Amino acid sequence: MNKPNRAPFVAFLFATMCAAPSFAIAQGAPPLDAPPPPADAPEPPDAPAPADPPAPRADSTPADGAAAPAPNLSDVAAKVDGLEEAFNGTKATVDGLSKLKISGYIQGRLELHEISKSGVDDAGKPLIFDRFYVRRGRLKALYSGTNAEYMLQIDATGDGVVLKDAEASIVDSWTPFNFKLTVGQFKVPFGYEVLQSSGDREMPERSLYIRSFFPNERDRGIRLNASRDWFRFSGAVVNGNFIQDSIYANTDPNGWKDVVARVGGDFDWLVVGISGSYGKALNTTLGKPAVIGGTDANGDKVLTGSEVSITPATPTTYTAYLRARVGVDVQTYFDVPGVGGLALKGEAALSRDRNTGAPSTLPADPCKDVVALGWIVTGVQNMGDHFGVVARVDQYRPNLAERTGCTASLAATPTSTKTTTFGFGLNLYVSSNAKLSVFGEKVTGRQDIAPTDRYDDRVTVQLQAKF
Amino acid sequence: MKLTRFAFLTLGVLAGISLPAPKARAGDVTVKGSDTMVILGQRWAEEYMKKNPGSTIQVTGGGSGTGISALINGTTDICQASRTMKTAEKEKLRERFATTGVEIPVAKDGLSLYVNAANPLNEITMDQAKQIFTGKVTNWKDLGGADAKIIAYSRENSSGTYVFFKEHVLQNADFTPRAQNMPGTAAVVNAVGKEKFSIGYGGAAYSKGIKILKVKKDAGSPAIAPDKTTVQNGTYALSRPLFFYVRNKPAGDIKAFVDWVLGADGQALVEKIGYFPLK
Repeated sequence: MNKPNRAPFVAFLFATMCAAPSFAIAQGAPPLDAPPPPADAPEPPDAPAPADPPAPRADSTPADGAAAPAPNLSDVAAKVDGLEEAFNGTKATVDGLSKLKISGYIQGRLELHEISKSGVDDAGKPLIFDRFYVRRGRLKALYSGTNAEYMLQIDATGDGVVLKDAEASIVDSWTPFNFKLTVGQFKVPFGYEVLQSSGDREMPERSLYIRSFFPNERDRGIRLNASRDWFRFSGAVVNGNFIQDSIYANTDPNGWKDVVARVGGDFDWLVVGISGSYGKALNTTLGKPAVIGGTDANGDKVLTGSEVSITPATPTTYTAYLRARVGVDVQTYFDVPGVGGLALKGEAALSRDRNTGAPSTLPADPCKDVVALGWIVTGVQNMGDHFGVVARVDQYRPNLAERTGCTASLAATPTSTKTTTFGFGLNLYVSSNAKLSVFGEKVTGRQDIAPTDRYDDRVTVQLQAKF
Repeated sequence: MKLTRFAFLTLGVLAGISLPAPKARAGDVTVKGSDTMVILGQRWAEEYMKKNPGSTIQVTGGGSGTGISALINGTTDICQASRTMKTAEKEKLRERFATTGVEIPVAKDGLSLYVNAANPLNEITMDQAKQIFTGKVTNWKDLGGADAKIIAYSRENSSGTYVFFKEHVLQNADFTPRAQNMPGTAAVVNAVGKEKFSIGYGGAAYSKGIKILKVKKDAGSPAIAPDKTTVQNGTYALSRPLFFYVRNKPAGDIKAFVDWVLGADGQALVEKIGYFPLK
């Protein structure tokens, strides 16, 4: 019977014997595969007389005092068989581990804000926003097995540990379309910047409109990816509420599911895509419990009679509304001779929320529609292998819908309202594992329409280390 | 405005840090990647350095996948690859360097099927090779040989040869788990040379101590050996180009080396090593 795994071990044994030639000589056997001496090679000198054998080790001396028998070939063969079994066990373990890829990155950051000032606001919150903090602390595990993929990514920061991605996938190896079906939590497939990794992005944060349209970028659902040649498709059915929702985290408050998809083409130096999403969302106002209070008008330190006031409880109210978005994205890549790669990227999306202030069962009312628009233009110029310059302009217009004839209570944000952010930054790729960056961002227009409570001129210095 | 002052100061410091880019030395070029090409790359480097004193070309293997990763990570100037870049790899290169990379064919190879010199088999069809490496055929008697178990030697999945073989011979089917993965083509050749009933695959330049089988596209096709003519005109079923990949259009020391490789001296060396020149 053949020994199919023998060859690597013979090589291993050979290497071991070469490393310890005295062993081979002691056995009186020539080294395996030793080349014959050339014909014109001088005769080897007489072998020196063997030295006196070393004294036997105390623990190897047989009880009767006889010399230990020299190992024979069958002993060596048995030893090789043993090593072979051990090697196969180790190899199987290592082969399995090679399918598991652990990666991650940390972004340590200093942020300086223009509006920072000493003191606190009326609610007691500090007005200083200049700070050091850990923006992202990602750890990702990816296991690619046979027609299956496991992916888990968490984010550990000063705010705690948050699940970012948890994907269970079936990977197609049977068709030319590279299908991949995923169930779990993932970034919704819309546009370019939503899907771009925060570890790769040239600016510190996503654009304002992306953060407004797609808070946290992720949702839970089922997704299908497909590609062939230049064709790209990614479509998903998701809860529609995104993760880390302040009210409906970890649940879906309505029976509707949102559909999100991107169809695109990748032509190497040119990448284009169109995206769309359609679904239903809830506009929720949380109720408040009754509050009993009052004013001690007579100063007797007791609230009685008319001094007592009651603020009645309010119920939680919500309205369901239709939400639709369409977008287009383009990325182009050029090689600037003597300088480096140049990427020009553009993206825009239009959002329409219908009947945001009334149950969707009522007739459509344009006074309750919200139409928003956002766009981004980004330029990235690499300079050599270690240096990159980035400039980005993005604009968010939270309402484009004219509401002429609507009542004052339904008066919308003026259609002229917009926030434009000019960003500029430098990235120094210190090595393949470290990136040092500095960014400046200038905000014009309304600053109070951002999803976060501070959106102002700022400088960000960041060191990213990844593995 | 305090932020403006701070921004300019920080940008200046960062620019100052970045100007002396951590390039090892002017004239140094690093080449990393395909194990199939590592000997070829080393010979190119030796000859080039002889003719260009003061230049240093460092060549290491590791596999095409490893070389492409190094190109994406910025840890090599040139990647040697025996396969084309995958879509995901191109996307990573675009993200990091805002470039699509430049693919430069530098030689041709006929991916070869090796058997032990004592094996009576002289030719094989593509389908038979697929059956063996997917584990459907496990005994030489099924191919008209001795009643002996077939021992299949394959490569690690970081190898471009592995990827090419999987795509073109296995048609993307999975390798049998019984195939033993070897760390390089030399290790495959060494193992096949020692094991009478084995079969392996690799570049045409590795033929010492083993027999290279003629390959038939199908049962009715002629059996063709990988030689200069059949590889260059593509009649050999497993002809493939060997590539250099660089991030940007070559310039300076990299361009000088690439031009030399594509020139008469470099291409003559290709044939001397056992591969096939582009023309």
